[in-house]
Amino acid sequence: MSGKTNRWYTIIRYIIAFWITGVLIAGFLVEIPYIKLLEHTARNLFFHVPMWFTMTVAFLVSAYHSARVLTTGKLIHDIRAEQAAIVGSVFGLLGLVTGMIWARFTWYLGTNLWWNFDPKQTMAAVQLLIYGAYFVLRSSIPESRRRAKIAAAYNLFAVVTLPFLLFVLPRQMKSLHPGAEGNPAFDDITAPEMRLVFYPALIGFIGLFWWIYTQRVRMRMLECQLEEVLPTETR
Amino acid sequence: MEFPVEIHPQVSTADSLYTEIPEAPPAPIEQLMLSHDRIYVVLGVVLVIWFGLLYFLFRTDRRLDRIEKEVEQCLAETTQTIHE
Repeated sequence: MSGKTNRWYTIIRYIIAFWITGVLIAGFLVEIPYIKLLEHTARNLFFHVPMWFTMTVAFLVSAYHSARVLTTGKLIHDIRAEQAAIVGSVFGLLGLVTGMIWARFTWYLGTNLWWNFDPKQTMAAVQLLIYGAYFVLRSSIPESRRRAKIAAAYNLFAVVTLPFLLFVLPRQMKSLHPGAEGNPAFDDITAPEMRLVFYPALIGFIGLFWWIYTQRVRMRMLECQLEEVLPTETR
Repeated sequence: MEFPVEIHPQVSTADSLYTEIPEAPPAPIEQLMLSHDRIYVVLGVVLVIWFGLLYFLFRTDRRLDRIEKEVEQCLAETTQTIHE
């Protein structure tokens, strides 16, 4: 990596750090209209929803690099595909847990339920299991070139299920999530000023994903370089 | 940042619903989470994200520790061969 690229890489990471800080502050301080039942939890729009957007972006990045593995056969794309899938899964898990907390103290209040098989929630869990299988598949193949190809092929199948599980099926069923009524993105009750924080939150969390993802790619590349240098018995 | 008090539905003791169906007292965790217009739910969500990312960062850190050890070992081996 040249010095110039490095400098921009550093600058962009500082911008992300400040950006996320601003989003966190604005997310708590922005005036939002009173909505019965939701009250201040409507602010979770700025924190829970970007988790899923970030996961989707991460899985698309992962799929892109898997496709590149199949066309170019370069192992760097395998590293990128794997790390994007890992970081994406982390964001997906965070989205799942934050959604559980949100629902527990609003819609499921008094029922003592943490999990009620809301269609979107269930499909998101299925989606994460599909990606879990991707990691299991990877760990089951010791030879790196074979692993790269097979995992890439599986990953392309996995990403195809994503729009159906997250965007098509949940909207066909009664759900706590918006979309079933025909409006895919925002409820009618969503105040316009909330978008002023929501969109920057999306950019911020996707930026944070990119930061962690590139960091892990660098880490994994070092590991691969060491694997070539060091004899296997010492590892 | 409280919401105006007047828009809260005020329950009076004359309310028939209130007198006929006594609700079970909310659990302690619910009392906390529902106070201050449920702002603590948002805090909980943000903390989950923070701790989740922290845990992940620590895991990456451990992997980097291992890489550092291996690099050291690698360097030690190289200097050994030079001296031989």
